[in-house]
Amino acid sequence: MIGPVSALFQLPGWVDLLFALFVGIAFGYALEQGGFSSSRKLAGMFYGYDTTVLKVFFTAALVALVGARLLSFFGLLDLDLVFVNEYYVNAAIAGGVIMGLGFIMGGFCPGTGVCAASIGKTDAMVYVLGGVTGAFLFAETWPWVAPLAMKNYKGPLQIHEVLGLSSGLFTLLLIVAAVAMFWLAEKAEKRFARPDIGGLNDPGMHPEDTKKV
Amino acid sequence: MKSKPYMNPYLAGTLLGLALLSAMFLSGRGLGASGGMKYCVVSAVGAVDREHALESAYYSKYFEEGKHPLANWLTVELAGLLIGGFISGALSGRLGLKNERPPHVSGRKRLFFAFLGGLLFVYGAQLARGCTSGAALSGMAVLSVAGFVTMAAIFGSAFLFAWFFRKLWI
Amino acid sequence: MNTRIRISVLLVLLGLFLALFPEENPGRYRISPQELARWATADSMVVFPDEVARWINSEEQEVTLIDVRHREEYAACRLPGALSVPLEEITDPQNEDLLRNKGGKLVFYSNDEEAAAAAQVLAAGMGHSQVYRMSGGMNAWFETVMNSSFSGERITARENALFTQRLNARKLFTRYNSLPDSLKENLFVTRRLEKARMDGGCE
Repeated sequence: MIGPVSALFQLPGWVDLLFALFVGIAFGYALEQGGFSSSRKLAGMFYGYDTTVLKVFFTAALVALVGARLLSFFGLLDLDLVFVNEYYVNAAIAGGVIMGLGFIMGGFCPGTGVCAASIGKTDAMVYVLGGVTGAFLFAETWPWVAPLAMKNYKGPLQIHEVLGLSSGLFTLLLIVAAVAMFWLAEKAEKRFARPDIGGLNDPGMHPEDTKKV
Repeated sequence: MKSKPYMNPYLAGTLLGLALLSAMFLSGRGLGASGGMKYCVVSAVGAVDREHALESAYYSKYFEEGKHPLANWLTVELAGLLIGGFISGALSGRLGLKNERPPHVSGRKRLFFAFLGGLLFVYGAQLARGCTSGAALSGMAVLSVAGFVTMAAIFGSAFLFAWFFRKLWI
Repeated sequence: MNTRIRISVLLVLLGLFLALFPEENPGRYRISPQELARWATADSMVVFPDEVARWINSEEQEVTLIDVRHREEYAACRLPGALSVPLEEITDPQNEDLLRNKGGKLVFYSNDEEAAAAAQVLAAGMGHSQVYRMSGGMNAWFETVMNSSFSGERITARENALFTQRLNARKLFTRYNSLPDSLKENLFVTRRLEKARMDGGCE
């Protein structure tokens, strides 16, 4: 059992931070390479003309899920020591709805916003500013939000437990569902295509540039 | 330099998945982005008005035992995100100041909604204890119910509100 | 898209592999705070020194006593037949089998009740449901059993039975703890032989 490395080995604190840096760089690189530094591309998911979000998101989740289970199977990773986020029913739903609204307005999520800001997108920079303000607002309104945030605690519940399936079987079902979604996504893109939104796959041509042409 | 096209989404997804897997393998946790922002805010408040920070039930727990909110996994990861994004942009020729929006939307309108969107999103992320990277993506990778529910709520809500904000994008 | 098909196929194959080969799932400590609170406060999961005395006297097979105090305290004196699992080792994987106890009852005890309560709650969190604690711990044992005395002129049958039970337990306790460790196990065997002889059983 080697992983999680930080948990199993007595390493000095800065090593874990070094891991964080490495992971962050890989994270940012992958996001930008996938085109997540473009708000129009991200928003496109919800108007059907660009389903990159779906493809990247689900591929990433499944690669990590399958990878982790495989590592665990070969005794290299102790999954019991990997953080499973805890389920607070009301907060998850309410927070999710607010986030959806924020997404469709801003065209970013925090990760992609920071990523886009790093390559110079000014709308992303303003998004991040808004984000920091939001975090500040939350901290200041904590006494009033706390009851909602703490309601209905269910612990680090896992889906396959709730459904009574083995994790392997559920993973397979998820994969099949995702593959079906990829196929549907390709179809949707053809149907809702917007050739007038140039530059989505070839960022050499930016929408603002088309005005000059 | 003419910018290169974006990477194949499935490959990019695989790369992202491997980044997440490294986080799980090395540090026993998933990714995060809104968390890092929170720590920046906490640190700033601590620097500007230390008394308020120590009195508040919310802020004080980040200063216990002399901890510094910036010396935190999520904050360092966020810094890495900036660096990684920049490197990718630089290598692909996508660097450049740009206020990205559809041609019919004014720059100011875009910035206004970007700010508001960011505010709402991170507020919601703090409530749900995670954003798309932290709760949804990392949550799915550990099969957590919270991850799935949060993701469904985000995507469902965004689809629902999409029609009302269509003028911003199409 | 070729990449899509390749990645999809790869994922489906790996998914099939994972689905067919069950993962080894070591006991995962996970319990909701409400359940945890229920365990910590449930009256039904508490047993009293008299019951424990009865079990010890009759060598109740279904019950295993677990001493959660430090090893030195266990060595100094303990309840007859009790096993040592110090509190800090309750969640060690090596004790997993012991705690499962083939479905029988586990009774935790300590000097007072806190450590036993903690052990009980931890064990319940790991999924063991037949976990109890002895109310009052060794302190109560000494008070009720070891220092039990009868005063007054008349005694009811029930009181008499109780007193006898305590007396027997007291004697057993003293005998047990006066023996060196190697002979402690044998005490029970010896007792059975003695009893058999007294009852006129076969050799």
